[in-house]
Amino acid sequence: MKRIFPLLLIFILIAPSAEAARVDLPKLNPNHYFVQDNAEVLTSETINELNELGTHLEKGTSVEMLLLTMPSTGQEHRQDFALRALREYGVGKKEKDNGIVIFFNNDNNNEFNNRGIDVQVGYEIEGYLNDAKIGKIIDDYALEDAKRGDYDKALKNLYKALYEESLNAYGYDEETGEFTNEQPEETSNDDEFYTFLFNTLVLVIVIAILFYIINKNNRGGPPRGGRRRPSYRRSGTPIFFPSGGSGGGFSGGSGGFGGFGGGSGGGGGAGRGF
Amino acid sequence: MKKFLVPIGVVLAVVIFLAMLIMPKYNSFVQLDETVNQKESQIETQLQRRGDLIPNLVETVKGYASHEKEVFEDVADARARLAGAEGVSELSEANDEMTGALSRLLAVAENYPDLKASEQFTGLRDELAGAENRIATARKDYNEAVEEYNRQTRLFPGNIIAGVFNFEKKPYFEASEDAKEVPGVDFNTNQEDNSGDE
Repeated sequence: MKRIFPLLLIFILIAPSAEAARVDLPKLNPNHYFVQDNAEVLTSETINELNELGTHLEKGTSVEMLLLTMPSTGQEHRQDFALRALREYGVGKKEKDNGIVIFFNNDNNNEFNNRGIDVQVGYEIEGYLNDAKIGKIIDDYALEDAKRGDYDKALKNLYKALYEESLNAYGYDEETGEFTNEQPEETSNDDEFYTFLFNTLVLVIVIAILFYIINKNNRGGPPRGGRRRPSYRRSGTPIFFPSGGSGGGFSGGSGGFGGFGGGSGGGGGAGRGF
Repeated sequence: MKKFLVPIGVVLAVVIFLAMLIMPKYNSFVQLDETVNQKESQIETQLQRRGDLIPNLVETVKGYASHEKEVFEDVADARARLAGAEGVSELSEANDEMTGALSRLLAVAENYPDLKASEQFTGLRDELAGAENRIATARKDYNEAVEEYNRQTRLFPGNIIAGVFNFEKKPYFEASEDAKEVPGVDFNTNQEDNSGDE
């Protein structure tokens, strides 16, 4: 019973830390990863068209640009929700953090007066899309239509504008259809596995030595009572656990793109309410 | 084998066994500690980033509203305090002050249509909003790292190891709840707020 207590304590402490009263991110629709229209403000033509642009962009530059719409974000600030989407979906490649989230929230009934568009970008994108530029692009391409309520047009134009910016940044050549940047290399992250292997191995050796000594000790005589050593039971509990590995992405899906790459961002971007 | 070797072997095995239990815990504390430090420096970077925007912003607003001296002084004071702040708790206090001063500056700007309409100001405001958001994000990341660190070092049996190796509890980077909301400040009231506390 005493051994269970710390475990129980950990469990109790961890469970409520998943904050209450937040709208969960919806599951991604794998038919068109780059356009997730949960608010249902886009036409199916727009969804298909933009998803194709997104697929093309990802193939050429590895930049992942997600258009996400939500009917509501609850009481969460639009900007926070957009950043959470960027991080939790893991938009962008993990080692590059080159994701873009164009977020539209259709709910105007919370304390932040929240209907609006917010663009959040990963660290690498900040290089060519700084906050002021993003703000200006929203102003120039989306704000007017959005104010009139034509969200389909506003978001389409905004996506296209950011798409063009990204193509330019990566030196897209329209003649050849090629990008001048290099392909990202996939680096595997095996460190944690080896640490775990090493720990287990050493533990096994120590236990073996212990058993050897105990056996030697007891040789000839009957085993003494009450000399059990329960500690070796611990060998099963992992000692190192990965710190905050942002998941992101679903396997499977169609058309080669199998889900977002686990990118992150630090809050760069801009937004407009209307 | 000599008989006296047996107890020595047992002691040795127990010592190794204990070391094996302590070492990973200790290492994980070091890692958590480093994460916290890294997140803290991230906050400082982002504070610096916002700080670099301020002269430009102030100059732009001054171009249209040069007589709003009080706000500019507030910003300058807050900036000086932020520069002199040391440690997380001082930093978070100074940061609150700066956020307040800047939002007052922006609220003043609301009264000048020409300024509001200027492209330069719009860009600066976006940069400022982005900087604030980055600070908020860095703060959140830092606090999460601290929470993990504090939990791990205070839970049994980690607390014993943490006590032996002096892993002290770390402070959160607090921020006032309304830091993110648009300020509703009344500018007609005279706020002679030159408090001398540091």
